[in-house]
Amino acid sequence: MSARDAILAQLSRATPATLRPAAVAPAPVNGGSAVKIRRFAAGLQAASATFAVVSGPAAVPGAIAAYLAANSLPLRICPGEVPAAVDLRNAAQLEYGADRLPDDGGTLVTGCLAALAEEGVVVLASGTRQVAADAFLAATHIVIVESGQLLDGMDDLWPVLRQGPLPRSLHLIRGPSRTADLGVPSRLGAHGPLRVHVILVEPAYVECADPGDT
Amino acid sequence: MTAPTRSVALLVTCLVDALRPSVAEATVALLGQAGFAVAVPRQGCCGQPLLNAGDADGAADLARRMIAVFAGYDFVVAPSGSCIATLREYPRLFAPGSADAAAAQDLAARAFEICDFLDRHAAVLENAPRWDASVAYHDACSGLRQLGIRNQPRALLSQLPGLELRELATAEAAECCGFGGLFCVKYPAVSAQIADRKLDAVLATGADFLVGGDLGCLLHLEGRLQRRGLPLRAVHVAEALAGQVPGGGQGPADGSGRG
Amino acid sequence: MDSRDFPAQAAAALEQPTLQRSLAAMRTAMPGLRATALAGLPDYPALRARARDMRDASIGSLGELLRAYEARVIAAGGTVHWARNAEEACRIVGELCDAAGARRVIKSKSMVTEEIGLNDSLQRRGLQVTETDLGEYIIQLRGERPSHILAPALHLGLADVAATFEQHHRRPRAEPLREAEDMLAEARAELRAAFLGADVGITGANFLVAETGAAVIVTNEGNADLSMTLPATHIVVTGIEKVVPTLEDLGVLLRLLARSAIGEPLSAYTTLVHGPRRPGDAAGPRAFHVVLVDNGRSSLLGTTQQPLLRCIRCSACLNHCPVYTSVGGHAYGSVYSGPIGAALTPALTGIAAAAHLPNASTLCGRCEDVCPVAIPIPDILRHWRSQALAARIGTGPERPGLRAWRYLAAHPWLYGRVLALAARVLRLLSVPAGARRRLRGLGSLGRGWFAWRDLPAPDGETFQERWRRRRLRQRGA
Ligand code: SF4
Repeated sequence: MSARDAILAQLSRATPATLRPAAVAPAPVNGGSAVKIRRFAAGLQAASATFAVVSGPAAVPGAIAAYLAANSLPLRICPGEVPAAVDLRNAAQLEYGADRLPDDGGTLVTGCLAALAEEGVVVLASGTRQVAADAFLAATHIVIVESGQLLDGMDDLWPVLRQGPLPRSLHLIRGPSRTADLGVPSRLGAHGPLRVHVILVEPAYVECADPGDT
Repeated sequence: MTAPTRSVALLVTCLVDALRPSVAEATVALLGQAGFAVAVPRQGCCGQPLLNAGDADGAADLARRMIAVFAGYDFVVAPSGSCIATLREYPRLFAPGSADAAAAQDLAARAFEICDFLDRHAAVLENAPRWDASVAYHDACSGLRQLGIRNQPRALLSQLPGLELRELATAEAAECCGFGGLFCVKYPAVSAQIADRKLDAVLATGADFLVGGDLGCLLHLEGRLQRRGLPLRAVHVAEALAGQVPGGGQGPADGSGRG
Repeated sequence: MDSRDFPAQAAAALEQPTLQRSLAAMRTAMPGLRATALAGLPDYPALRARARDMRDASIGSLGELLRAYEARVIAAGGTVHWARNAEEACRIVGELCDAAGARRVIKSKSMVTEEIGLNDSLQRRGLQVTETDLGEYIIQLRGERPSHILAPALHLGLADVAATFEQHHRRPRAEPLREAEDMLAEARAELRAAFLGADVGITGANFLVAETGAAVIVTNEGNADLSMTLPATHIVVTGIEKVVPTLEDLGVLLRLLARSAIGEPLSAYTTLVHGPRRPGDAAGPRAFHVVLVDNGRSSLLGTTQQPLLRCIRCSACLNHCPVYTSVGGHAYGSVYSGPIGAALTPALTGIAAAAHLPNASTLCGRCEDVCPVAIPIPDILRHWRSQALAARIGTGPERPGLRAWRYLAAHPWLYGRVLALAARVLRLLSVPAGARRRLRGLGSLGRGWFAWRDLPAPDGETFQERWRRRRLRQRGA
């Protein structure tokens, strides 16, 4: 008997249990986009990521440049797959780097498949243009989230995934790479990025100008 | 009182019986004050040590005897959460649907730890004694986690005029004291370290007395206190509520300081 | 380290200052972090009940779920292997490495690979194996075992890490390593090279999803993502019990896992991987294998220990255990430590080698209380105690004592006489001590008690004696 058959034979001894219908705790009620954005910002902050909102795709390059300058980082970026409306190639404020990340990490800019407000998470998918490995090799990862991509929480992600073909890999990323193996507090940048910065493109920007403000 | 006096059988518990009879005296006094007719049928052990040692047959044998001993009383009350938790486990020792299981179920439904019992039937103490002392309450694990006893002893103690309740720091509050029955003699060094954490947390509150509801924990903690030469004293909650803390400086129930 | 030596190992652990400092930090910080994170959920008790029921239902239909999972993986271009035991699992992984022509293997922390001794086995084949979780990397350099299922280097301090790196990293250094940042930078550089040069990446899986064929891997460092993306071959090694039916079911467990483990809504990286690189993909392995390991798990089905299979290895039970947080993981001498280790190890190794573990618990019940899938660990520990008792495997002198005591306790009159005698003798032997008398020792008797404690002296007679005497007097009057 093969190991497979032997194990499956063993497993058939199990007494099937039926899943009692239990009320699954409802996800927090969506209190409108301003509340959602506030939650998202708080979730990112709790995960040591940073956050900015811009009113349209045209404002993205400026926001990237501002972030890099504020962190004394070079203005050179290595773009992965970004939303079509965002034009980084012709942005005067930024230096458009090679497709490959420099050996010391560098700054990667990507879009995402979705973002989860409740968990403070961005979801990246593998694909033809997405530089999947780079998201874990870069020193700084800037993620552009389009307003329609921001979901309330994890339970809203699964139906989105079922709508299309499943990507090979899905990465739910919550802030920079960190480790607790060198004591408290956790240290950032264990293997992957030291910094994760999220830029939300939200046309209704004016209505929630200060997402950190409650 | 028009209702017929209801009967309570005292489950003395082995440790109280042999090592601290005053706890049983205090429990009898509290039950009497609450208007119950108290009986003490001749009894052995509830079987907790066997249950925890993994001797389910032995435990079932003792359970049958206890079921017989306590048949016919309205309630069974003990100054111990862990012994009551053992009585509440009895139904699981017998085949579901058997006569033994039904009898065990019946006993389990009548069995209560003293604070829990008073809280249900006589939540206002008749003769709350005066006690000018600060005390920290140790939640013994069986009471806390199996019987849900946390507020009951505090609500009762807070009726003692002059008494000040001090809470342990959160991290230590829910932690075991390290007694664990045979555990405390099998792995004594570990047990003592856990006890020391608990004692240090109590000392940090500045309380004069450590009050608890399970004599096993209390003997273990007090023994460790004595060995370390600490000034803190450990007393059973029943003694405290009945005004019978030996040398505890408790006053009579004069009502002074109430309200 | 052997579970048979628990008492000596535990006593030694109490004297290790670095370990004690880490454990104290864990004890004070973790319960609050966990409680706060769970309080942020709309209805934790309902979610916990749901998780428990869903795990039970999954365990009840493991065969069906694993077949569905396997079909998905095959459809995605991967291969599924089945291993009855540790030896088979190691052989399968070794052969896969050989077939890939591999020389260098990188690993992302996995308790199942610890359980089956995979590293030793691969190294015997001549493969160079590098652990990439920082804590696991450090203890690999030191030749140690994990002391915690999530924080394997919990027993080490910064000075230990510095010494380890100075010994093993061959790099010019102007001054000794002192700062955590410098150690992190050094490890990052060493491991980056290992990632880029590896032929095979091995990861565990926290969960498998039957619906989509996903292996789900959770880390905070991102090392699993690199391990599974850069090398040409990715091998997932995991236990057969890890499978859940749907993505929503996965969501239930994910919402509990990091909150229970580290007090956060999710870990930094939660990754679902569905197979090898597809045509046109920018990255990913060419070959994708999953090794499903039984190693005693299926033998738990239908027993009272079956709920152990619900475990999601969150480590909450360790972090809240008075014994674990006193002695750390190494004292247990087993791969899995703490309450879950004490409950699981006898099933994996047999009770004879692990008899101390179920006994080294106060049965305080906090493990069951904090377990996100409500595993009745104290009941399972009692079960193993009964097995040890039945097999006459002693962990102390309790066996003859228990028998004698059981006889006494069943004869209340005799029992009462013995208790009364004991009370009298102990009273006579006691000495004054403040408000109460005490005993300081009983010669060679009761050493376990008196090594660390006095015994508050009894009154000298039992309550039942006193009560009955009083009754007689009342009746006579
Ligand atoms: S037994 Fe429960 S608490 Fe312990 S690791 Fe497993 S899931 Fe977590």
